[in-house]
Amino acid sequence: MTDNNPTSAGEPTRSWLENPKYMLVLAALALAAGIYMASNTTREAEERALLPARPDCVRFPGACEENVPSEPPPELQTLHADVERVEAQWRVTLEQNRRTGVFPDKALTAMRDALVATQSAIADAQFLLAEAEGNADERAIALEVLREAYEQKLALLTRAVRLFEGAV
Amino acid sequence: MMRTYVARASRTVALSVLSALGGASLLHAQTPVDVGATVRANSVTHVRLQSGSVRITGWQYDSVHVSGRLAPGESWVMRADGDTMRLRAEGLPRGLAAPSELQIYVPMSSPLVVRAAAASLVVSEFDRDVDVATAAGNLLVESVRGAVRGETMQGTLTVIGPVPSVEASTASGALLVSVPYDTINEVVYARRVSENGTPNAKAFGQVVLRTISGRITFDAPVVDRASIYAVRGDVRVVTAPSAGGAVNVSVHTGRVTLGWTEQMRSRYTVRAMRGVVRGEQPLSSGAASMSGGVGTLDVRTVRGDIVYERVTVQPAP
Repeated sequence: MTDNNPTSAGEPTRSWLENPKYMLVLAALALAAGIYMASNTTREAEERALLPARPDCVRFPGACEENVPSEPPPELQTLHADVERVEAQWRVTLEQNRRTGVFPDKALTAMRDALVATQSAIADAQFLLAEAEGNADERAIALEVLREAYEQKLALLTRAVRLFEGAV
Repeated sequence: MMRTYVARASRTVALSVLSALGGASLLHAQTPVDVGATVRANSVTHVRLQSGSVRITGWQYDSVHVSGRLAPGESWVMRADGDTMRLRAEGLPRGLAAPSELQIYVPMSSPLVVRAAAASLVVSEFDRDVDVATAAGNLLVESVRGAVRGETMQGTLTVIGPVPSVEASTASGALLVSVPYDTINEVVYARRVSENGTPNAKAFGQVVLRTISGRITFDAPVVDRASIYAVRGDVRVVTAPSAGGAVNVSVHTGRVTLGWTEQMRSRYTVRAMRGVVRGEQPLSSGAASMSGGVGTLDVRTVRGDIVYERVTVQPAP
């Protein structure tokens, strides 16, 4: 009778996975990778938060239409300037406190998503305003929608600066 | 022979790892805190927190008291600064396994200001204004007789009224402002109105609610004035403005659900620019059917639907 068991001939063949040395090396590598990735998470969230927002074309289809004006209408230029001023302030707040670990990733990600949504709402409202050109009633409504979109972004940025500066 | 060696070696490695973890956890254990101080009457209490779970409760004494456990890496500092009593968790917490767990008592007659990075907070029992903000974390405010301002970027914000005025906002978290137990599992119970149809609960005064992408639920028998804004979040409103009052709901892309009961009286104006209006219209939607003064309920969406919903009134549980 032939013995087909390869281990029965002598020393059993061990997988490298059973070798404790390899296991220790693997565990150390996994630990190092985990520490590296955890330290990078906050940095990435902060960097993402500083990137310019790209529009959400699915929920705000007008934001991705061609030839939509990016400049505000004359009636809303003051409001637009206020938004730009507070947005610059937010960037300074974020830049000054980045890599301190104070700002939670979840909050930074939420802020980033919120900026995308508010900017998309502004662009969508710009599209509606351009479309309503020539119809006074429709234009008045679109202008009100645009005003509100700016106000939402302004309120968001003001809250973010206040909240993040207060948390430091 | 070799198998025994491997088994022993594995056991040794496992025990070493466990010992190391145990040692590390001892180094990163929470620190107990139990401190108090007297404060000047009517001084502002300013609390600054990093993370963890914190209850802040107003009490009738002119003193503050903090008890519980601080996260590793944090220390507790209290100091009077003119008319402000400052309570502060200093340092950055290390690790997530042992967050701070604190109970803070402060005078209920003091205005309260709280700023937190990633703490979940429960704030209750205050006679004066409360201003609470956390960057990431849930926030619950209840039993406050002053004005409430609450903010969270990422987390659920709940205000249980009635309160004289509420200004609340989230970026992505849900926002719930209601009178307690009026709505349970989407069913409104009869205690919201008395037999003659008048509201049982005291009205909310001024309410301003904002979210970017969270869901707003505002549920109150009556409100004097409310402004509710969402950019791409859904809004559910079950309320009626008081006589001469006004409720404005404005949503860019998101659904607005307008709940109504037979007792509610409002003059509705709804406009869905690129959406549809559907559902069962309120019985009192036309001004002609109403006697006495009524308030206005004005709803506008840009790319969202508006849905009327008759709310089932059940006996109180």
